[in-house]
Amino acid sequence: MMHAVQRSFSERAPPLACCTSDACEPVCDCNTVIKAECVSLSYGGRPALQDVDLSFQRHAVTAIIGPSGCGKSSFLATLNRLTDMVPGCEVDGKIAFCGRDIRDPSLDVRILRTRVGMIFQRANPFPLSIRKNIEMPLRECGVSDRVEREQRVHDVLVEVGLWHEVRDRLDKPALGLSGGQQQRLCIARALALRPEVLLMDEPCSALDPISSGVVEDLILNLRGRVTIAIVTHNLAQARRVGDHLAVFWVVDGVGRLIESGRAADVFASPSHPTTAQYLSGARG
Amino acid sequence: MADLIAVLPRRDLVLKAAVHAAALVVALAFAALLWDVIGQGLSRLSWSFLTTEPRSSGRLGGIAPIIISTVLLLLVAITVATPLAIGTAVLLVDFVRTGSLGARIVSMSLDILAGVPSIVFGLFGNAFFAIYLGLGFSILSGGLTLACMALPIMIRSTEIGLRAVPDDWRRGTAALGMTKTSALRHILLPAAAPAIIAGLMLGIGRAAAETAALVFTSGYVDRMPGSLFDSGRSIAVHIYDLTMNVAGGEKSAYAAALVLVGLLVIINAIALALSHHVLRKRITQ
Repeated sequence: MMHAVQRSFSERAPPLACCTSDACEPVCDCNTVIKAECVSLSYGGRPALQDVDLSFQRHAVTAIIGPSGCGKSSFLATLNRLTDMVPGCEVDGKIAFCGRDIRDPSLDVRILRTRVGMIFQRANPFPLSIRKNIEMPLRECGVSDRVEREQRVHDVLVEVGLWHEVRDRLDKPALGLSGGQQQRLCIARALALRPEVLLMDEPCSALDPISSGVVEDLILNLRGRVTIAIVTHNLAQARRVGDHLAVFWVVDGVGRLIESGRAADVFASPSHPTTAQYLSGARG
Repeated sequence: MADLIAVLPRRDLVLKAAVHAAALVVALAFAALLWDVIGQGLSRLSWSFLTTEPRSSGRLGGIAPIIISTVLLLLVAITVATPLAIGTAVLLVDFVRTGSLGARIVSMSLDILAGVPSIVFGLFGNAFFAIYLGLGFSILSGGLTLACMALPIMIRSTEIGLRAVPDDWRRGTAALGMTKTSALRHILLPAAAPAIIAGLMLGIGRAAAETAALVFTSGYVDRMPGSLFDSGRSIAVHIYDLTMNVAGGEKSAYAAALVLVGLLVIINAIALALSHHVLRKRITQ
C-alpha cells in the first residue's frame, strides 16, 4: 500500500529541477510541502534530537520555538541537508519534500537546496557586490539569460524592500550594507532562486528592533507565496508571524518536539504542561 | 582621590621598557645591515652594473645575466609552487576532515619539509631533477628545487588564510546550491588572497636567498641564459662566489647584495599592490 502511494507520487511529480525560467512550475501542488517522520539526529554518536514528526503546510509560516540547545536549528538544517556539512552529524528517519525522500542518494542535493532555501542567524552576504550576491547563485543554477537574471535581481530587491535603498549602489560591496539590509539581501538572494520553502534560523536575533521589524514584515509579506519555517526565541514574534507552532524541549537530555499545531490553538490552550508554562513565561 | 591617578605598576613599566628595547635591537640590526650594504655597495652600483655581463670573475663588469637568471629561477619556482600550494591547502581545509589520518600525514610531511636544510634540497634536486629527469644543471632544475623548498611555507600560509574565511560563507554557498568549485573560485580563495600572497612572498624570500640548493641544480655559469635548460647563476650564488672565491670581489658582492635587496623590495611592493587590489574589491564598510 505504502509502495503504491510512493510510486504514484513519483509518477506525478516532475523531476526536481532548478527554476531557470519564468515558466517554471512549482515542484508540486500537494498541501504538505515537507513531512518529517521520526527524525532523529546525533553529533558524534551523542543524540541531540529524537523522534520528531512535523509537517509544513504549503505557503504557511511554521514557527519553531523552544529553549537553547533543544535541537531547533539542527532540525531546520536537516530539511535541506545542510547537516551533511557537519562532520559527525548523523540523521535518521524520513524527510519528504513534495513526496520525495530527500535522503535518497539519487537526489541532487544542490537542486534540493535551491528549492529549500536557508536564511541564517547571522547575515552572510558574500564579499562581492550587491548585484553579484544575487546573480552568482542564479548563474550557478543555470539561469544563463542575462536579461532574466537582471529582472530577477530587480524583482527580489523590490520584494524585500531594498530596491530603493540600493538601486544606485548595486555594484558596491554588499558588506557595506547595514545588518538589517544584509539580512534582507540574503533573503532576496534565496528568493531569486524561487524556492518552495524558506528555512529561517533566528533571522532577526542579531538585528536591532527596527531592522528586526522590517524583516518580520517581510516574512508576513511572503506568507501565502512561500512556505516558511522559522526558528525563533522570540515568543511574541512567533505569535505575530506563525500560522503553525512547533514547540521543542529538552527531555532527558535530548531535544524533542513536545507539541505542534495551529499557532492560535497552541497559544490559546496548550495541551502539554511544559508548553503552557513556557508560553506563560513561567519556564524557559 | 590621588589613588585614581593612572600610574603604571612597576612590573608593567619593566615589561614596557623590555618590549621597546627588543624592538629597538631588531630595528637597529636591520638598519646596520642596510647601512653596511648601501655604504659598501652603492659606489659600485651603476646603470652599466645592471646591464652588462660580469668580467674578471665578477670583479669588473655587471650582473645582467645573473639578474635574468635569478628572475627566471623565481618565475619557475612560483609558477610551479603556487598551484600546488593552493591545491594542497584547499585539500587540507575543504576536502579532508581535520585530524583525519590523511590530513595528519600531509601536515606532518609539511612540517618536516619546512625544517629540511637547503643543502638536502640541493642534493635531492640534483639527484631527481638534474640526473633522474635529465634536466641537467639548468634553471629549470634550480627553479623546481626552489619550488619544493618554498612549498611548505606557501601551503601553510594559504591554509591559514582559508581557515580564517568565515564558515558562514561556506554554509551560505552550500545553502544556495552552489558547487564547491565555484564557492572556492568566487568566494573562498579571493577572501584568502592576502594570505596566499603573503605566503608567496615568504616563499620567494626563501627562494631568493638560497645558495646551497642552487649550486647543485642550476649551477653557477654566469653567462646570459639562452633558455630554461641553460645553467644560470642566481644573485645569492654570485654574492657567495664573489666573497668566498674571488679576491677583490667584495665591492661587487655588496653591489649585488644591494640589487638583491632592491629586487625583493620591488617584488614585495607588487605583491602588496596586488593584495590591496583584491581587498579593495571586497570589504569596504
